[in-house]
Amino acid sequence: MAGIITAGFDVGSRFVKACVARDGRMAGFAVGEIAGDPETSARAILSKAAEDAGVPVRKIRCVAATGHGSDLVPDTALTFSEAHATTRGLAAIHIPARTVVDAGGLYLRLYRLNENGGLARTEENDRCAAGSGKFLEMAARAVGVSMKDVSHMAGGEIEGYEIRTNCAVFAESEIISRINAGHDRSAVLRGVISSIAERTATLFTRVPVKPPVILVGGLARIELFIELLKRASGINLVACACDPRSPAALGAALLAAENPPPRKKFLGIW
Amino acid sequence: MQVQTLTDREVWSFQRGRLKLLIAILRFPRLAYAMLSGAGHFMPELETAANSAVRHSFSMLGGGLVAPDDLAAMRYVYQEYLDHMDGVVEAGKNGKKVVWAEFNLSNELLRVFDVTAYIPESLSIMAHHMGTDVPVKMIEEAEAAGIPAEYCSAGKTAIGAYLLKQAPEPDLLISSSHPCDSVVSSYQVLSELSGAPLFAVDTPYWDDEQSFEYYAQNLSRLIGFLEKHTGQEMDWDRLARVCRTMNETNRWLSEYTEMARAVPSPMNLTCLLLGWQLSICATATERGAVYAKKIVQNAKKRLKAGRGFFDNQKIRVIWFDIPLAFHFIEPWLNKTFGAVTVADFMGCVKLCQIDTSDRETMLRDLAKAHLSIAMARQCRGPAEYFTGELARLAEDFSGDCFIFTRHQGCKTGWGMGKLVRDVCERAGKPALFLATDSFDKRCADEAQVKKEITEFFRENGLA
Repeated sequence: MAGIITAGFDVGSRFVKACVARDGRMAGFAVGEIAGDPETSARAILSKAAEDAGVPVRKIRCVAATGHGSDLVPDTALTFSEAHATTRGLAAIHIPARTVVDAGGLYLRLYRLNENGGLARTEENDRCAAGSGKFLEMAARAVGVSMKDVSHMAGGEIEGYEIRTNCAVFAESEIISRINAGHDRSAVLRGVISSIAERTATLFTRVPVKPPVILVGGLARIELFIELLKRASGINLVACACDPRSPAALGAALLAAENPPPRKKFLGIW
Repeated sequence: MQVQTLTDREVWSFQRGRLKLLIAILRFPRLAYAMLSGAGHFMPELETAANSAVRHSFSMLGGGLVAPDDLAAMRYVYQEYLDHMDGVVEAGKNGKKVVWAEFNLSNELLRVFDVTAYIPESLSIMAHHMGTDVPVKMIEEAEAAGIPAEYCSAGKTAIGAYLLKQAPEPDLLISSSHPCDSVVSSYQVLSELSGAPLFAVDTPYWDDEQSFEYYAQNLSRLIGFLEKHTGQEMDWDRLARVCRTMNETNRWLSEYTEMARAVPSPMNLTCLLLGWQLSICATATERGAVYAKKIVQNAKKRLKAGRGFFDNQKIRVIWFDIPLAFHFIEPWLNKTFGAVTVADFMGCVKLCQIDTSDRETMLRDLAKAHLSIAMARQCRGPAEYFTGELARLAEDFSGDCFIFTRHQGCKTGWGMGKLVRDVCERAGKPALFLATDSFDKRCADEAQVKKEITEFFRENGLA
């Protein structure tokens, strides 16, 4: 497969990530918010990733996709589960991980790998926005701070306000009520991050965790989240050596090179 | 309540036409085999309504993977089912009482009385096999009438069929307290709706002599119930004849199940499940026994020759709670991945032989047999009944992986999740838990199920 250029998409609920791979390594990566329909967003992000890799899009031999909206990507020959793509991507970047925590916009997931790097177990949160990146985004908007500044605003020795409801919809109302009642915005925001970290930590109680534990996904870019998750779980987390949003897209690109796409056919029901 | 879109008995009329066509095709098994093996390659991949009907019919005949000898045997099953359902429809005209019996029961006693036994779930199973959305209509009708969404969808199809006037009016109803509460209450609802008296066989928890005796007493009471409401007397000699036919059928099917231990497997799941399906709707029939004998003889020939029922078997799957609504998955697994389901709990026949020497022995052994049929065997007692069988299958059938259908209304299946996972981990084999429903395509459709299985095989290096 030497020299073959492939691309992988990770279509999440908030962002599309595209990766171009060549010779088993990441050659280019781009990420963008889903604006309008995922198909248009995917095409635009792929162009950026190809530009980052320095290759024209037409040279890409095969495209694979993963993530929540993997079926929405145009011209995709293959789709893979997030667990499969993420662990494959990490294997190309790191020493083999034994446990992976994927904290994204919609889901909190935990993947446990066996000694051979194969997927042994997957756990995820309930299908609920509470405990997801989207919840934090919503809270940040409510307190009027951008995502890149949340760690700065809620960090330090602040005591977090304890969010009393489990539902993200009601939690937003609670946050707005607390702020209107004069609570410190930083404390409210820290409370939100803390509640997400605690929810993530519950995943560790379901599966016996083996080190090294690697944290990926959009929430892995929030330093305060990493700190609070370490505190809540008592587990040492290894930082991802690249953009933590990229492993799934990279994995999809590598799997596209490793798995021959199904033959295009117009006849045959099997 | 939802607007009825089905005319009276429309579902059966449709099924009848299709079955007659399949039976006609099966008159020429070699020609049918050649046609099924070849035609699948030339049909448009893009599925249209017509294509779907043909494809599901292909699957009902094993998708071109069932050998001509087995196809010839299949004809007995479809003919028996056709005659059985015709009998159900005719029951009103010939004055026979119609007795609805739940599909987790074995209905030998109903064969003894001069009544028409109707197993409501079989109508929706057949509708699934034919690729129609009728079961979903039935479920929606039941839910619209107030049946909770959490109920087992099998019971909901029975209620929906009644509400949509697709099923005959019952004179009597029989159910059991296994495998779950929703089955019992579904039949209570049917009793309330139809006004027909209900007898619920109370299922004991354990597998011991005291439990068998308790269940046998229940069967005695059931006989009394049938005698009272039909005005007929129990014919014990006829029951002995029925039991002997049942013994023969079960002996063959049990042997067929066991043959799947061989690598490659000479056992075809489509044939095994067809045997199960016939046994639930028309227990202990002569044609059923002939069918069972023929498929075993055919499989034995393959076993002796060291051949599987198809060549190049690559993956051996233990699919414990196989979804009845997705029967076409098996030919797809065979063709696409060389995967073969070697063990499941529906098809797996482990019934004891019935001693027909006197009434007491017959009732005692019928009790044992009833408590050993699919779902009753695993889902009524302690968790070990479920996990123990799974662990034995894992050890005996050399499976490469497990697949589980998380049937939405199955509290046993969901409650056992962690324990089942532990069994799989101890066996050192990967396991896939499909979030779907055995009778309700709304939870996950065919494409979703296929996608999950494909990814599971890829993730674990099986494909």
